Amino acid sequence: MAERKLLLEHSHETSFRTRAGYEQTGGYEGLKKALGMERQAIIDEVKTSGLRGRGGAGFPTWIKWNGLPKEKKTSHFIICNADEGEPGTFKDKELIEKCPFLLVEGMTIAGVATQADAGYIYIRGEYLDGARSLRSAIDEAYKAGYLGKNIMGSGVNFDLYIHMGAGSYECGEETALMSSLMGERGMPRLKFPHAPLPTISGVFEKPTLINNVETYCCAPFILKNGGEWYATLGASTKNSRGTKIFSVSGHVKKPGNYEIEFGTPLQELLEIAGGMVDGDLKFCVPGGSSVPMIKKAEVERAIIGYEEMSEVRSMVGSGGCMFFNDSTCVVTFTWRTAQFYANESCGKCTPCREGTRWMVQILDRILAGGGNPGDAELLQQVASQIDGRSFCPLGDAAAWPVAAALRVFPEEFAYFIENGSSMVTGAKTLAMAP
Amino acid sequence: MSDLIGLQTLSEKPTRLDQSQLKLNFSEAAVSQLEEIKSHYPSEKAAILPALWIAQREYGGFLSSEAIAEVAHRLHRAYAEVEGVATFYSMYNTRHKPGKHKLEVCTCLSCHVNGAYRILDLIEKKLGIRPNETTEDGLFTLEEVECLNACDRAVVMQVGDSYYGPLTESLLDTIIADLKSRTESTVIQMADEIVKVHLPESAV
Amino acid sequence: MAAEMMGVDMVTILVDDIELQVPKGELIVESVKRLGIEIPIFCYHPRMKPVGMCRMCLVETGTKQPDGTIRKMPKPQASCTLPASEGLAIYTQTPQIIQDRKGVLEFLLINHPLDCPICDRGGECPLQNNTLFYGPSTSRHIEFKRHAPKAIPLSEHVTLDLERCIQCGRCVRFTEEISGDGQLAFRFRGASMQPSTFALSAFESKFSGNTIEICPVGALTSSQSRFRARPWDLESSAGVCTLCSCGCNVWFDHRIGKLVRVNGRTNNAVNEEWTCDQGKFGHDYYNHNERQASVFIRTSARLESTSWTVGLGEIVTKLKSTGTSAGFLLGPKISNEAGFLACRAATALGSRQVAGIDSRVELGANFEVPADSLLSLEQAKVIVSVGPSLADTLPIVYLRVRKAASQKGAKVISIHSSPTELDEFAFLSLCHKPGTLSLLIQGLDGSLALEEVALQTGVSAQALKEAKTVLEGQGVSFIATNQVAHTEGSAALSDLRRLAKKLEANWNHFCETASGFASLASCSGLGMELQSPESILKKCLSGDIKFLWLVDFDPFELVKDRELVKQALEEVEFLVVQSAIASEASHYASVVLPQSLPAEGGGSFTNLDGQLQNFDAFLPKIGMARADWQIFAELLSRMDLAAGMFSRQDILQMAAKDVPYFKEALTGKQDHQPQPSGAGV
Repeated sequence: MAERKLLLEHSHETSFRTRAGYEQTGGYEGLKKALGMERQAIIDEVKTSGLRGRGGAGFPTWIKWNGLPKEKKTSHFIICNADEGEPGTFKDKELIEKCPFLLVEGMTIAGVATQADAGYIYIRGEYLDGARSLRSAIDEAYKAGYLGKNIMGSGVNFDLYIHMGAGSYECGEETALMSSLMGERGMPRLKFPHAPLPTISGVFEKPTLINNVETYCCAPFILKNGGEWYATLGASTKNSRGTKIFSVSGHVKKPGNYEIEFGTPLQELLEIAGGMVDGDLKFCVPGGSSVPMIKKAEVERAIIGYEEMSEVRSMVGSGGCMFFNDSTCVVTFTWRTAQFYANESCGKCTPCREGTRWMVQILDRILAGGGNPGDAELLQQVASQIDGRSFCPLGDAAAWPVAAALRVFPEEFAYFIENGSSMVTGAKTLAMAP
Repeated sequence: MSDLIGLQTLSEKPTRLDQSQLKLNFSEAAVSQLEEIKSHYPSEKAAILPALWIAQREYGGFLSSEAIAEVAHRLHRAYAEVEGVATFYSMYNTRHKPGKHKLEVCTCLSCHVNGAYRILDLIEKKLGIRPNETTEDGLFTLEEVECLNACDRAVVMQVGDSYYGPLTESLLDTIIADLKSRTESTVIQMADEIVKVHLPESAV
Repeated sequence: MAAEMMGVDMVTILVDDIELQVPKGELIVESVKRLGIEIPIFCYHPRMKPVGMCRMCLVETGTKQPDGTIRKMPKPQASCTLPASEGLAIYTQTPQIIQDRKGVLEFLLINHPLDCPICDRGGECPLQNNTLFYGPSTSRHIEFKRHAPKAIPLSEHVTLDLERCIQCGRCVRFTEEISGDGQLAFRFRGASMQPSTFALSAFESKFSGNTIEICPVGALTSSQSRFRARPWDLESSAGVCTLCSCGCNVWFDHRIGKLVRVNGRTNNAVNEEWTCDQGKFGHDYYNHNERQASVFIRTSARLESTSWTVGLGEIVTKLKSTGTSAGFLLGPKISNEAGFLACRAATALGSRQVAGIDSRVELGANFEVPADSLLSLEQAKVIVSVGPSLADTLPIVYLRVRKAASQKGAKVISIHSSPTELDEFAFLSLCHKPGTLSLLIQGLDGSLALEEVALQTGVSAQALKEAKTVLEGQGVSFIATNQVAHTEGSAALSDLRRLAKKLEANWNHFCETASGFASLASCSGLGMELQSPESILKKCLSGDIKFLWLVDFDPFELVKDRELVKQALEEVEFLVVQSAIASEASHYASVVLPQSLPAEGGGSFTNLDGQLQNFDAFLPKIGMARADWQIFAELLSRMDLAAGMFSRQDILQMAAKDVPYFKEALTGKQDHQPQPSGAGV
């Protein structure tokens, strides 16, 4: 297998960013079809496609679409999560910059299916190129009657707005994103069973659908070609259908976004990205910084698929796939990962607020040559005191990479603690540069 | 990040806030932009984030207490609440006034392994400042930031609304020289760009 | 079960394998209390929305399967946000949960300064308590603790120590949800997150003291009682705040006979558990350095210390000659007993000249019991508050109105001539030009065209129209005080009453002082009218009153017209000044009587909705001081006007014979018992 470009097929054509160019490639056929369908039929099409959320959790998309009240009593909203922040991931960036109409059309289809009055695209503040690209796509879509009142004469109204974030990884968590969209601190909100599902009471306390950029971008293809067609992609896997964009980076020759079909071996993704640069593969973080790292042997047998990846004790995650060569010190790497989560913790709950900071402190000390016997166990225990105890998944995401590093490369931690220097680079003191 | 929580100087007696003394500095254009943005949401509160972007532009790239108070006033929210929102997000400049250009160097995972701290060191030497500091001429502020999600361009740096990467010493020199030649502040320009993407063409 | 009868769905849950019926949706942290099981908490507070922040209350959960087995959930859940649902199984004591609690406490303690030896909260600190019962015995944290400036003066009342803060958000949520002033918010994020006022400016809330009490650590402390005593050295006695008519239940915490601090005491029918800042910090007069300690009598030009026998003897002699022209000014904080006995003395002497702040004669209205209680006010659909800031005059009523609006959806209509706190959440704010309230009322009752009214009052016709529509609905309650008469004239207040009656709405003309309700009830029971202080003072000038008794009434404080006060006090033949603290009026006194304060002498107090509350003495009296009711009991005995008064109970029994209100209060709905301390929940 090789790349299987579906979403990214035309991403390098600048005309694809204009309405006319987009339409030439079959754009808006999906929406046209959707407007002629019963709302439930649209949702059923998504169900047939087997599409699962591309933001990281892999939740079946149709269940969310199906969850909004069928009998509309109040405003409905849909949100696009374009707050891409998971380290190692940059696929949504490319999609909104180069394929803005895919998202606009996908959201419009979802809006039609869920009777939404308006959609909000929550874009992280840094992604200005993407935001500008989307801005002009939305403006064009309004002019062409694809958005606004009475879309394409169908009687359906749907508005689309851009809302810019302001620098917070936590806002990628869907309830925190809703807080942020409502003008609050980006702190997560109570979830089921503690509170109603967003599809019943989400943003502005109205029924809300929230999906990732890539998920929405799949909708035009599913509607245009049919759910059954979409489901043929990735059919070799247990339960993962379609294509997935992986952002490949780290020590690879050709870092970038690569779209592959589910069922592709992970090793092949590495080859697509040109293979390793300077040395041999040591470990891979296949789905964004929070998913557990795997060693070379696992990379060689891993098949990309939601269930398949769990066989090597990792995950598809957001698709931020990083390969690291044998010059990488795992302890230093773990320290930098831990620091990310400590800096991005929102502070709402005790385990994440205090635990992430403590893990950084312990790693700081180990890197400074002050490691004590038992520090590895302590780190592992602190991680387990956060995992599953925090308010939102950020705590879990902070704990997993640390726990995984300790499990996969215990000898490197033991060496650093005992000798005060890196087993890999030999560097002493706070060795920041690899 | 410093371990000590940043706080303003403590006075013996807390100052009483006289809300009637509030000066409003938003330009006419800013006010109409805010009105347009408010119409996008079913609640006024939801406009706090965009309003803070407007304020960051209108107040020269820095969200001073006055700037935050103006946003709170215009959106009928409690001052403390808006300050809480502004200080939550790392892209709002609430802790210290940035220089004319803010160099934000990503040191997260992929950038880290590709030598982000070497690049950071290099910039520190070139500009003679440490992270979170501003050069004496007020031109540059250096910041270490978390993942900018452009890992394919590691080591990547953001200045205003642009990403630069992969960074090399010569590229850095070019960027710095280019920034020095610019008249407008990229910090303010970025806030302006962010405000603009909220606005439909018809409203611009 | 009562809940069942009221049509609440009940569900069966399992708590540590014990089956339990609870209302559907009840929070698990509350449900387990039915079994006497305690789940440790920090951020959860029963009167505020649950947030699940601190993770102290984690429990293991599962669901009962059709085959009767329990399927456990992989992750523990916060019980403070978990609603009860059919078949939900909860485990509060598993090894995993015991471990999780240790984990959360270890996290909370790693950055806590552990300066317990000098912390005001030490000894009554939930963090200490939970650590003792659920925490780890040692810490594995050997890194640097987070540091922050200590003792930030947030206001004259509240001092903030950020290092001790555990970021539970109770204080922030209090200012958002309960007091509604939004003075506090969290700023920054992650490990740097801290509660703060805007730019550390002054914490200007009328209810800021409550944040000190609900803080589960010593982060928010009272500037007033800081470092003044260790909590375990303090004795807590149940008391009632007498600084206004709300009658808040409080704990007086005292040490070696000195009052140290005041905390809220739970009484859902009055103040729930809140206090206003005036009540919480306004009791320092107990420790005033000019407390009246002996009886004085005027001999020639100066006051000389004397005995009660001589002092009272002089008064009795004088009253025998001038009794029919004797007047009494009742202070705002005197007990029911003293108020009643003073009225009784006035009738027995035949003078019938009694005045108090809450007088209603000028209003052309007789005393009537407010239609609403503080509890029923909460159920109102529409609340019309008229006059100046309710948060200033009746703070606890304000909190009820806010609760009715924010939690029960009541529509609040605020009518005033300058903005008040109510405007923040009012459904309609009708801000009229000063002096035009009567016109506005005429617009609302339909006797004047709205356009005309709008023009004259400055309130938009649209708003008036909306108000009119809302007022025509059901469940309308009016709230007013004498302040309306003071600002808009007594005719406006009568007009307002007439409007309320016409709309068949609940009319609540609340008293403002602690003695108001009982004084009005006593007067009306004895067939008198409670007059205004001004009218009595004027009678002193005209010579109608020759003998004046100030019953803990400081005219220089309470009467605006200072010249009138001076002249009256100079003019009157005989002046008795009965007070707890030396006042300017003493300079004019013929006899000065030292009076104790309620915590020293006891007394019963009736609050604005008619609840009679006993306040038993627990502090020693100062010098020769006597309780206000003791002074009058002795006077009446000495004059043979009444006998058999040996206790407050005797006086109340006597009052019940003359005054219908007291009869009802003593036999019917009555006096609550102090509940165990709610402080530190």
